[in-house]
Amino acid sequence: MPKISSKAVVANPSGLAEDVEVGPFSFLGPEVTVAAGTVIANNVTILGRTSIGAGCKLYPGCVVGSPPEGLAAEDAGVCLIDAGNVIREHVIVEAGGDANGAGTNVGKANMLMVGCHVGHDAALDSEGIFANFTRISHHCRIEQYVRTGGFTGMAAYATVGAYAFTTGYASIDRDVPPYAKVQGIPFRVRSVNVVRLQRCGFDAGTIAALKKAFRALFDGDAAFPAGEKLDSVQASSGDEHVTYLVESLRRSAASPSGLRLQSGPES
Amino acid sequence: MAGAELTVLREIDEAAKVHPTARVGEFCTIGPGVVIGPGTVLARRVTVTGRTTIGADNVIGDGSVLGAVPQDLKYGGGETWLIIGDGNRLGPNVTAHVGTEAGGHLTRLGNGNVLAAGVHVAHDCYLDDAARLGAGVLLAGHVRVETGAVIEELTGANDFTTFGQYSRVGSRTPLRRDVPPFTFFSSRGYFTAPPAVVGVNEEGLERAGLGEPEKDLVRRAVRHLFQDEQALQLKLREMLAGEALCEPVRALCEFCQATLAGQFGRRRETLRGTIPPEAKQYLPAEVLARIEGGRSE
Repeated sequence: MPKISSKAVVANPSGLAEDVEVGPFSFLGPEVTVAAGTVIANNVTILGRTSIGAGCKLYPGCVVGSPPEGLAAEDAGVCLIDAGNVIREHVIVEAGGDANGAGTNVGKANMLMVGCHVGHDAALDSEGIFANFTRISHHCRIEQYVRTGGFTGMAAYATVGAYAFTTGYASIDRDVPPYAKVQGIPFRVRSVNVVRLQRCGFDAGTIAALKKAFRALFDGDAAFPAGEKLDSVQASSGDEHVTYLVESLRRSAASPSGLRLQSGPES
Repeated sequence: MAGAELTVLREIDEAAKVHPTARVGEFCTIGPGVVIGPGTVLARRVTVTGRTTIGADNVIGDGSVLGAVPQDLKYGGGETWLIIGDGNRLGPNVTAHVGTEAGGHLTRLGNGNVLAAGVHVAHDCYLDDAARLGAGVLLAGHVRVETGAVIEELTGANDFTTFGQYSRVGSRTPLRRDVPPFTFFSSRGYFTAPPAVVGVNEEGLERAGLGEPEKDLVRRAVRHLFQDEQALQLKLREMLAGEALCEPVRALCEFCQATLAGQFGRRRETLRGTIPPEAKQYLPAEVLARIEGGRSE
């Protein structure tokens, strides 16, 4: 039996796995499912067609699967939270904006610190750490191992590349290249996120290749690097991560707004 | 009726020590390790958990969460505390976490602080007395806020920063280094230049209760030190070695010297991985003995 507080409202207890805990004054709607080992604290609200994976922790005051602004509850899409996520106090994760769409997806083992916001149809990969008050807008795509500083704000449809780091107050108005450390309003690429790469076990050769590519590509300007520069960097390095960086930049630069997801989902 | 309502609409653990004159609003949840002093008012949907002690006559706003586990990934679930003094006013949705083992086991708010809506006080922060934090202020871990500091809306502080006594930080300042006492620190041209001291916090001089001659000496010292921050170390050495300084000016000079002795403009960087003096001061003696014993083994 799941351990449900007598003061909680769980509309469909059969949707909860055996050892799920639900604290007092929490509300779980009729279509919510929760997998094994997840702990839901007090005053948590989970609405809509939301599924929470195994081993997640939800802290007081968070709201998961709320219909996006202005949408009736029955028109909202799904909200899929994978295993091992930590959702701290006052975080809001919206449900999808299309009843038949892919919905909002949060991958494995992300940490959303106090007051973060995840907009509708956003897709987070895995292992991200989002500092307090990070605003992930609707339709954003966050690749794996991303870290954000406090108050980072993202434009709708922004893509943040894998292993990227955004400093506090960074304004993400266009796509963030992978492996980058970015800062400013609007952001500029400052350097390679060496610390993260080292912690993720990248070898010195790859990091050196990325540093060389970054020096050739970024000059502190807001514009994406020109096509010829991308060609020459790609030609001069055989490293798969440099290739991934160049390809990401190419796709982002091809969009007039610098937001590659704005023209529709990638295949 | 009142008795039944009290138990149905609140979740107060039997082991929690809530003073009979404290008022606990609807849908509040209070955990087993919590102590709440006389006259303290908890509004609705307040969560108090962990090893949290709240003193007398505080007001805690709706939806606040006090004493949750830190967001520091190094935290391993050890015995750590959140201690709140007397007469603090916390707005709605304020969050404050307990300390971490590596940071000194303690997060502390002193007396008479005002924390507006949505303020976040992270693990191992120390607020002294009578500080004012505007809405959405975000303090990272290990931050010290000295008496009478004013932090305006949406300012975020890097970990290990110190706010000097009676200083003021403008709104939306991305703060990475210490704020000297009695100064006004601001982001100037909004992210085109790094934030810095832009003048004297006149209101702070007033609140500190300084006389007119002392105020004037502080104004002159701030202008001398920060109009051009070049050779700050040299200027400080000259001032401290020269004629007798009045107390606030000496405090200002010594604060700046300690900051220069730290790293990245943050004096508290030197305390990384140690039990800071504040924890030694405010943790109960037997707890401190246990912690220090555990460390030396």
